[in-house]
Amino acid sequence: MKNQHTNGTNKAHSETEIDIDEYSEIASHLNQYPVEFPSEAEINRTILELSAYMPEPEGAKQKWASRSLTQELFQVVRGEMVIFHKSYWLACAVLLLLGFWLGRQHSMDSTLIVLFLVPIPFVLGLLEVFKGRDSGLMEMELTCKITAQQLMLARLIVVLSGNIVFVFLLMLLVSNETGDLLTWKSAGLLYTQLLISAGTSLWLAMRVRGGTAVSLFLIFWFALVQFVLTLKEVKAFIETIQPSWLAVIAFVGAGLLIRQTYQMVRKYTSQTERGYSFDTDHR
Amino acid sequence: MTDEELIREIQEGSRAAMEVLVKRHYKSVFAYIYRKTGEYHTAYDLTQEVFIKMMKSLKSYQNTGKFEHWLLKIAVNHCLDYFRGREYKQQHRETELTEEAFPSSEHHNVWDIFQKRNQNEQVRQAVLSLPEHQRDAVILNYYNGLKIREVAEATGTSESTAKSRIRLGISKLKEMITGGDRHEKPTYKRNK
Repeated sequence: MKNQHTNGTNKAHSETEIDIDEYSEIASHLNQYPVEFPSEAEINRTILELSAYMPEPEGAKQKWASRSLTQELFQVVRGEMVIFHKSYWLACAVLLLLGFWLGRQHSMDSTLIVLFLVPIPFVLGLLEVFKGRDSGLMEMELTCKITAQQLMLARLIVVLSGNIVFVFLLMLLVSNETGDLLTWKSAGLLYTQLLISAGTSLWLAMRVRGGTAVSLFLIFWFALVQFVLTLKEVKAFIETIQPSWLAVIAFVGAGLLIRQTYQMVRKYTSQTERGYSFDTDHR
Repeated sequence: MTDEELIREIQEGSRAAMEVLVKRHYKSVFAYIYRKTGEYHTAYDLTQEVFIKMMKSLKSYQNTGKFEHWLLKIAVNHCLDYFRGREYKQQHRETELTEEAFPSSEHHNVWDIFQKRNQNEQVRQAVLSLPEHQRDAVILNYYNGLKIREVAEATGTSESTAKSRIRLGISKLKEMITGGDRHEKPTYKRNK
C-alpha cells in the first residue's frame, strides 16, 4: 500500500470569501495538517464497489419495463429449474418410484402411501429456497440484477409447482390398477394436505435454518403418519371429510402459504436493505 | 468534460464516466472526512459510503449548484450520522476511559501532546478537539475552500451561524496552537 502524505486540498485562506485575521496567525500551522491519501489501488477498490450501484441505462430500463412481469418471473423460474441441485430432482424421482412400488404392495393402503409422500418434495425443496440465506450468499445474490427475494420466490414457485406435478404423477402411478385415487375427492384431499404442509413448513423454515426446519418437519410428519396408521378411526375420519370442509381447509392452507410467502419476501427485503443501506443513522 | 456531462454519461450506464467522476472528487471528499475523523481507515470506509450514497442519489441530483458542494453536503451529513452512531460512541467511550486512567485537564492534555509530538500531530489534535460543528465549518472553509454561503449550505445552517462557527473555531485553534488567552475576544476583518 502506497500512501501519499500531502496537504491535499489545502487552499490559501485568501481564496475564501472573508479573511479572518486569526487565519493569518495560524495558517502556517493549519497547512501542516497532512492527509494520508489512499493509494491508487485502494481508490480503484472503491470504484469497483461502486460498480454495483451503477444506474441501469435508460434504454435497458425501457426494454425491461416493456416485458411483462409474468415473462420476467417465468424466465427466472426457468433459470432456477436448471440450477437447482440435481440431488433434489433425484430425490423427487426416487420418492415417485417409492410411491409406485409401495402402491403395488397389496398389503398397504394406497391412500395412506400417497398421503405420506405428498409434502416431502416441497419440504426438501425448502433447502433450495433458503440456500442463499443458509450459506450466507444473500449479499452476493443482492449484487445480481435479480434480487435475492425474486430468487427465493422463483425457487418457491419451482418447488411448489414441482410438488403439484409430483402429486399428480403419484396419483396416476399408484392408481394404475384400481383407479381409486383418480377422483376429485382424492385430489382435493391430497392438494389440501399439500397446501397445509407447504404453509406450515414455510412458516417453520423462516424461523430456523433450512436444514433444521426440514428435519423438524419430517420428524413431525413421520410421527403424524405413524399416528394415523395405528389409529383406524383417524384414517376413517380423514376419508369421510366432506368436500365442503376440504374446501375450507384448502382455503386456510392457501391463505397460510400466501401469507408466509408474503412475509418471506418482506422479511428478507428489509434485512438485505438494512445490511446495505447507508442512508440510515448508525445509531 | 464537466461533472454534469459525466453524470449524464453515468445515468446512461457508463462505468468509465463514474470512474472519472469519482477520481476527480475522491481526494476532496477523503481529505474532508480524514480531517474530520482523524483516522485513516475510518475515513476510507466513510468515503466509500459517501460515494455509494452519491451513486444512489444521482438520479435525484438536480443541477442547481456545484456538484462538488452537493457531494460535500452528503459527506457532512454522513459524518454527522457516523458521529451520532453507536460505533463511534463506543470508540469514544473507550478513549474517555483511557483518558480517565491518566487524568489531566483538557488544556494541559492538548498542550502536553504539543510538547511531545511533532507539529503535524499538534494541529491534527487541535482540529479534532474542536466541537463538531465548528470543526466542520473550519475544515470546509479553510481546507476545502468553500465560501461562507457554501459552508452554510453544506452544513444546513444560516450564513451568520456558519460564520460564527468558523470564527469560534479559529479562535479555539489559535488558543490551542499558539497558547493564546482563551477568553480574549477576537477581532475580525472583512476582506472585500
